[in-house]
Amino acid sequence: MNKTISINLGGSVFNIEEEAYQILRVYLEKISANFSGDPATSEIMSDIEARIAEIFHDKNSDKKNVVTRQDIEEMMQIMGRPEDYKMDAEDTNKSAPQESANAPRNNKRKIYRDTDDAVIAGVCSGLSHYLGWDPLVLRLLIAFLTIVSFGFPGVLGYIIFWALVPAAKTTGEKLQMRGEKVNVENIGRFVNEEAKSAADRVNKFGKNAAQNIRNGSGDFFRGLGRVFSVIFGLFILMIGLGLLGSLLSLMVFSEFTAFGIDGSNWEALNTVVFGNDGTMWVLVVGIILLLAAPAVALIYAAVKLITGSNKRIKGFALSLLSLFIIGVLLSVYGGVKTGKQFSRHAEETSTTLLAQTNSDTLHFEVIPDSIFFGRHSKNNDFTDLIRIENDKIYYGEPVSVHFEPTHNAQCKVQIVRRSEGPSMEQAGLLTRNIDYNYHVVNDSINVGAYFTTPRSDVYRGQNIEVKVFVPIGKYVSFGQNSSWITWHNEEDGVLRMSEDGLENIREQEDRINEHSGEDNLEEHHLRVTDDSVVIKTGNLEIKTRRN
Amino acid sequence: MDVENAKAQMRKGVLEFCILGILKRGEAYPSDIMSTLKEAKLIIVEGTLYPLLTRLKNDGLLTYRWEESQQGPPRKYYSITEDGIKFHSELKNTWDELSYAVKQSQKLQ
Repeated sequence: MNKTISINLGGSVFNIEEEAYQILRVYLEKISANFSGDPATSEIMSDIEARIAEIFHDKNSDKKNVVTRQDIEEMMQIMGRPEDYKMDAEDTNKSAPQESANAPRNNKRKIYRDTDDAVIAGVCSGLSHYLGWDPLVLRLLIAFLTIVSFGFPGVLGYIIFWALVPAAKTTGEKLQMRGEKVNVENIGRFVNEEAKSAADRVNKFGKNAAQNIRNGSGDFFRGLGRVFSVIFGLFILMIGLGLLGSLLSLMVFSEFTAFGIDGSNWEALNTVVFGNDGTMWVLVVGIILLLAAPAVALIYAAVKLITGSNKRIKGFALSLLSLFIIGVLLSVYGGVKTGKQFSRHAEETSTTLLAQTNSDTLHFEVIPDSIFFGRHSKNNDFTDLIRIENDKIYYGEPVSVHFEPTHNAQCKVQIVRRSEGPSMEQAGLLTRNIDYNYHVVNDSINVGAYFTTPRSDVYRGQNIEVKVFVPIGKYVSFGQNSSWITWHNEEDGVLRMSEDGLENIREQEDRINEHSGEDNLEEHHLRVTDDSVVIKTGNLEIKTRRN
Repeated sequence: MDVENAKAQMRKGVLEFCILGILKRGEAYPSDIMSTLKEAKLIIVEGTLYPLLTRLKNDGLLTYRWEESQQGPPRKYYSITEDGIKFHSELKNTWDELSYAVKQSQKLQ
């Protein structure tokens, strides 16, 4: 018993056995593929179909109503193999060695999704046919990748592949997916295998159950799947459009404030970091491609999911992949080139010893300036911290101040200039070019909140660290501007240097208050001098300004 | 060099010339053309013929008319055009030259 299908060929209706139908369809597909791009294709094909119909008529004249595989094979004897339809001699030339090749595995494989062996959409099994791997290995790999990367490459890659790569639906496509030659013998064998596995399934589940799955619930799940794929398509469409949209707005409006460049724009970034050598544009193009290619792929995938189309735009996925790879290469090139500029580190320390005085307090203050005054915030806000004026670049951020305890009685101030550069020499030169304003007079230390470099030096991670070595037991009094650049939050205050660094006066006050809650209040002494208040409790001594 | 391939290329080269020659004798249905060509062992399968006929027709060398058939779909009957006749005679000159050249060269060996 064989199932037959009714087909319309060249204007006549034929009943054809399913197996024969598969072969005929692939045969016609293959012939048609010979003329791809030729505007006369449909005319040629209808002539051929008409002739095939005529041949079937001749065969059916003997009261036999069904076209069988035998008829197809006889028809092919008359009409020739698909390769015989090629018009150009070069094509024959090309296909000749392929035809003579006996090893089916040597045939060119095409990527399809294998929906017959699918866990989700047959991506892994399809890819495994192409790569010749075990699908289980790929599945584990993708699962691993997904877990390690929190979903991104695994799931996203899967979705993109799902949408870009069509499922192998016809027998011909299934054979191509496995890298087997699409010819009559293989199709026949494949169709037989399929029929056998279908029969097995029927035996396993019982005829009725299988029938139900095929007709009723099969349709239901297909419908449900359709709804899901539309919802899913809309979801990834939004991601794709969002990615593309933000990329476009970034490009068009240049509204980014990286590095806090005043009036930030590409020009300033190009000057400050890249020295206008074109590397920035390489990076920009690279990053655009890096982001735009997946965005376009996502949108394309979404459109395919929503419309449910299974068409393959020739070369589209490949072009996107190439653009993406170009993007990766450009970004890596730009990144490495820029990174090299930061590969060597140099630092230079200049030390100033403070004159020995009788005072037990150091005065620390930040020199007010018109450039960063009031802009500087304690929240590490990068805005407005780099400026280009005349032939200098002003850096407001990377000045840091540290107070360190020393057992030495001598106070000293170290100014550490640091810079990166492509070579030690260059980095050293850059550190020497840093212009930093500070002065140390007697026991008062005044430091600038910013430093400058020549405009030609560009940004190579230059920074200034001010290290103040304070003898243990001495006090540091902070001026009102000093909170600009120290971690210290008080407007002004006096801190005492201990073994572990400066002690926060607030904490100690808290501790004193805790103590005062107990009964040893009388042990506290309070001494008020001309300009400060000294609290003594046990062996702790805290001094604050009088106000 | 693949000998089968060389043969196929030689046949394809003269195929257009032969088709025009057959149709110069009168209009014909592809199967008729086919049987002549098959006798001459020029081609063995019909598949090769259809694209060729369509191409010649689109180049204005051939034309066709439909004719109902008692069995199966209507048939296309091809006939040669004025341009086709001119084209054929030019090809014929070239063929005569070639066949002379081939004869001469083969004789020498």
